[in-house]
Amino acid sequence: MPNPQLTANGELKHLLTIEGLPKALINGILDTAKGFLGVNTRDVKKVPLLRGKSVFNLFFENSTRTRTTFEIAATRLSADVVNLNINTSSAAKGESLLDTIDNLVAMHADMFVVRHASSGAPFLIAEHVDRTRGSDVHVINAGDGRHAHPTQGLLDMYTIRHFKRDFTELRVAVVGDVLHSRVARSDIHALTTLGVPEVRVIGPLTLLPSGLEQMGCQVYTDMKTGLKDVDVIIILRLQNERMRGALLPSAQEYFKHYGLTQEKLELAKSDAIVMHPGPMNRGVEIDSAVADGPQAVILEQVTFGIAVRMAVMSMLAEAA
Amino acid sequence: MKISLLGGRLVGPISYEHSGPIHLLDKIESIFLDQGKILAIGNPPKDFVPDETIDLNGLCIAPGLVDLAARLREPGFEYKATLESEMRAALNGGVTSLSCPPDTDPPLDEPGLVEMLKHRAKGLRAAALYPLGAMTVGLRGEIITEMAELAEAGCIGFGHPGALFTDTQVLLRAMQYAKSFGFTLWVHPCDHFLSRNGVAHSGAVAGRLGLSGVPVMAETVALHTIFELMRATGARVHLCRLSSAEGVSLLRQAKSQQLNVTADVSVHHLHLIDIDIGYFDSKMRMDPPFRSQRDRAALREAVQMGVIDAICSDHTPLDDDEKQLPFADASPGSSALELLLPLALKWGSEDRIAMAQIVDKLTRQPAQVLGVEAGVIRPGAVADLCIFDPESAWIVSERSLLSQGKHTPFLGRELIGMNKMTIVQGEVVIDKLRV
Amino acid sequence: MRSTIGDFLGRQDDAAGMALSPVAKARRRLVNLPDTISEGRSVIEAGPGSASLDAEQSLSRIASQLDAKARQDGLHRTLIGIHRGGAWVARRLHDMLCATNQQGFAQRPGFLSSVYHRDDYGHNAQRRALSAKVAGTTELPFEVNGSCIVLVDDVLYTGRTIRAALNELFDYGRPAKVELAILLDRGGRELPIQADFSGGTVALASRQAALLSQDEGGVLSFSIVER
Repeated sequence: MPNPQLTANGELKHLLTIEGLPKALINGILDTAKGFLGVNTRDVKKVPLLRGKSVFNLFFENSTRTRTTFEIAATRLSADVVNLNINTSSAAKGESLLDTIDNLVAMHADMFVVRHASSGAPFLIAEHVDRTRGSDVHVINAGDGRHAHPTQGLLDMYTIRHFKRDFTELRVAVVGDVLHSRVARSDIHALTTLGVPEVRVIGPLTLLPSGLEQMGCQVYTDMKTGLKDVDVIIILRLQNERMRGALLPSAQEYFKHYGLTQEKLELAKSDAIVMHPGPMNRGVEIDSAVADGPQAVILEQVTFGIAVRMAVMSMLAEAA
Repeated sequence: MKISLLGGRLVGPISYEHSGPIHLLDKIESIFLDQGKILAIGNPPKDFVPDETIDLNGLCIAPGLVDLAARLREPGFEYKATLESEMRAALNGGVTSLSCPPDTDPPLDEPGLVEMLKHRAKGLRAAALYPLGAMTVGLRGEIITEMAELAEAGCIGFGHPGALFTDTQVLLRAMQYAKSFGFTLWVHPCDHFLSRNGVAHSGAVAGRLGLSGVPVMAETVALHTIFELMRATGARVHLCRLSSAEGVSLLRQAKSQQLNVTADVSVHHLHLIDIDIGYFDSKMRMDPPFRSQRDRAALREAVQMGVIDAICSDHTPLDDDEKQLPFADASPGSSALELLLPLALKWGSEDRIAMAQIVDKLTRQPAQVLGVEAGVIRPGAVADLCIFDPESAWIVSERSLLSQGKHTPFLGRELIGMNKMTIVQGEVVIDKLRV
Repeated sequence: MRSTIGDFLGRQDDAAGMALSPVAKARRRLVNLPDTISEGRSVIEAGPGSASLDAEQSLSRIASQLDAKARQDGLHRTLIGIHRGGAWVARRLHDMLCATNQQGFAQRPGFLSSVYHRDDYGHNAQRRALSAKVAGTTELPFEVNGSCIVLVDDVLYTGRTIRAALNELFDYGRPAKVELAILLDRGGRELPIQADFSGGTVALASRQAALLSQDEGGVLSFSIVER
């Protein structure tokens, strides 16, 4: 089955998931992002690459933080950004997803940044625009259900590359609610593609999906064993609903066994970095001391995130 | 009307006598029809002068297919499909007898609704309709229906489509009641809580795609419960749409213990597995979900060995609004009446199973599950026949399907095996042979 | 693409086995270029002849031009090399100028990538061009406002790269003055842009490209390639 993200020449025309992207392409995105970091520190934080292009932020699921970073990235590329919060408008009136897309395409949208609660929604949209509009409309997945959050995966890889350089020597631990996490899935695909030899997943069985071994991970239910000698720790957010859904008894118990404290951090390598996609639940999955400590690179992730999104948008807009 | 069907390749369950033994045959024979019934096989009776002679030239003749599950969408869902269109689709697919599930709107829990449905069907030149009644009022799983009244109105059994209701006590009572009258209960072995919100087979594929899974446990836990209640009550149960290897294993055990159980599988599950979801193709959204390769192999073997009694279409016409959605939001189901035959033949040719055996699982076996006289070619039987070309290739497209449901996982694919003529009660109702 | 035409024609070390300086060796190789590279069209035209393609000579030429100008007007100039060829030239130029005119060229050179302002983006341009690895990054570790800038590049052709470089530069501030130093002017201008300091002129066919390369010793040389 041809990968719907790539053109016949193997170039990126949509960014829907990290799964299936060739390693060289991922590295190319990271290299391009490096250049854009420089743009973000200038006085004039703008380059004209997407001048005149219309980028529509289609958020079917609320997220001010992700939407804002995409908006900043597009604006720094000189694009025109339109924000659409669908749950408050046409969908509520019963307009179908594809009808909404058709309407926006008729307004000459060049790029859609889509966040949706259902896994696979951006694929449906991408397939639809490909069929109706050919190659000049691009779709970026800003998070679909539990399936993927590719720009987050890419910025996490950028962060690891920035601090650790060589992926092929690393032990990386992903901790928390992997079952419900699109960030975890994207991170896992990226890490394995980039050649990380040991990808560990740590969490209680109720929060781990089946098929992790097939995705290339080692599963640990004991955090102390799982964190031993790791170089990178990625902490996932624990949502409140998990307690209500009979998956976990309480946040306190979770924190005791799966929360990252200074004590547990010391089991990892002394120069290990701590990452978190945000927003953090302090005292649930991560201790404040660690989050504010020297090994946390959470704010750097945010900075890199804008550069990575600029890289993705400019690479897509360039596609013929 | 007297019809001579000459030189056809008779295939499937055949008997040369009115009440003689039935054999699975595959041979060139002619058939002679009169007054809506089969008059003779092989040689015409003395003084037989046909009104119509049809040369079949080696095309296959089978008994009209008997489909255990085809949704006709009436009453209540006429915007999705109608009795006319779906009956037309059935005949186009060579299906001359079919059972429809009770999940209409309102559900078939009252005799009046059943009578109306049967009346509507009779008015069309349609396949014989054997409706399934609802086991509980409103399909809510609380109060059992007036099964005797519904049976009188024409229901051949009582079912509960979808995941089983949670009150086991109600299921127990339903079995006891059905047993008292000798009725069959049709249940889907699917535990309500373990399958809740699941849209794909619990496994590596669903894990990767971030889709909520339905574990095999949902089927096996339900089967254990059903069999246990059956042991206690002696009820007769038909299991709808088996999906897993473990499920087959439990079924085999139950049959060896002489439990009065039969089972069917949807023809799709003989072909598709979880990987076929691909990039979230909503056409693959089905209940029960497509499981793993191992499960598919077990289902195929089970049908071949007779552990699973029949293959059905599980025909579910859906419109665009229900399918053109992200995978988890799309409605499950596929349009399948016209694909039942070619998909069954495809399985047969892949696993090298004699065509007569395949036909048997689409005709006599399902008729036995229904408890009706159908699915066998014998003198004196109603002349319901399916004449098909097992080599004819065609592309599944919106145009080639007569059903109003155009969504099937096989859309755009080429299938081999096409129904060319359908005869219902001695009358040619579909003729793609002589156009 | 890194080897010179001389390499293709066969290595020609000094027959007598005399040790030559790397610069001299480079000159020797380039002097062996045939007159006609393309069919029936003479490559070497006006200017100082084949010597225009001698990168090291051109470098010396513009260094002395810059030095002379600086002594004449007394301004403190800052060099900015345009990635990637111009960056090499800028570094070499700065080294040479510091040796003779410390005061006029005290500031260490900056570097500039013109990719974000190029005018062929999205018009089937080479995709990898945005990658920092290939395109380099802009580093201007000094105050641009009010400064006297000399943009340095290897080859001046259509002028579009210089236009993009100017746009990039002006995103950082408002210079008092901008001049252009070029190792090789190959004509073919499509915009009103000219060099203030030039190492030489050569006319090339449109399907030819002049490529600058730098060996391990830092020695610069040009090669002509056909697309």
